[in-house]
Amino acid sequence: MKLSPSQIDYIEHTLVKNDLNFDDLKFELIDHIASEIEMKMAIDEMSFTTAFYSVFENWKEQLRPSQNTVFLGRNLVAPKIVIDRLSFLKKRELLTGFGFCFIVTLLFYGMNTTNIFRSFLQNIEPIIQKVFLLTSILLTIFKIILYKSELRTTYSVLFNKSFFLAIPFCVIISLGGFSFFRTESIDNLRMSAVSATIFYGFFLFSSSRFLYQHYQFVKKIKRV
Amino acid sequence: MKNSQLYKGSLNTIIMKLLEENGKMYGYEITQKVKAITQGELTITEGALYPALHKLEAEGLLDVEIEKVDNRMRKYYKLTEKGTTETVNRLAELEDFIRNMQSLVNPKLAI
Repeated sequence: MKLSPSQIDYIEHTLVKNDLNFDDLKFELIDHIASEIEMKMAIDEMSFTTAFYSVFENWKEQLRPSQNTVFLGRNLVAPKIVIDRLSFLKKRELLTGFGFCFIVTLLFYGMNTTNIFRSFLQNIEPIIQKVFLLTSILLTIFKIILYKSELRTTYSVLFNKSFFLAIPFCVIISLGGFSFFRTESIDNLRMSAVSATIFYGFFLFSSSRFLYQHYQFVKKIKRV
Repeated sequence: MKNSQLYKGSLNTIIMKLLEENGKMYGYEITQKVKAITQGELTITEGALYPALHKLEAEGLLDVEIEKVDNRMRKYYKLTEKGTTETVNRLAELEDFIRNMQSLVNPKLAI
């Protein structure tokens, strides 16, 4: 027995009431829960209401409010299944970011001893600043478009989080705030400036990736 | 998942094997297929299934297709090219593991 549109709406309404308002996960869970309910109605001959409560009882653990203050901050409280997914993606992003930043910073300092490399860096600094500025402007435009979008995904939430972290520093970098390439001496401050630029550069890239994944999902939904 | 400690490490391989055999599948279908094959001995909970599917998707081993079925959206998972190659490797690893366990648990029956 297939569920009616109003019964599907009721499942969606219950999920949203439980703060599950991330479309990429919501559609998946609606289908799973609806399939379970249909099975119970067909095999156990339950009514929709009885099957609905029986199925939601099993989902209680996954829908309980949860948070991950380490990776997602204090403000984000959402069902456990959402927090688990966001934490996994964020952890993966941070580990890649730190690894990438560490290796590139080491390479930078290894090569920075040669005059040819120093002069190369001095020449590309204006280009790097322009790339940061252009990317920051583009991401800000997308942020505004995303704000008006009807669809909210786990990717768009992560984009927003990375965006607010990366943009202020990227604007500073693009305006020449960290002119480390022109500094002659290698000191701790310069090391921090290099690491920060690479790290926030990575965050810009990472934000763009989340944005891309969000629009990939939107594209798939619109095709249906 | 029943006997979670023993099965937990093999969940991703089980999912990939099922997708290799069936082409594309949705979440609920995977749970039912596992239940049917193991005659109810192994049940994958939603708490184990979705993190595993999302992890495999993030690793680029699975791709997603969305279709409208019975008044709702349905998300199908299928193996990517990388996922197909990885399935072969992981199944070989799992078979080695089973063989080794067999040798340890029941040496007389070991091949």
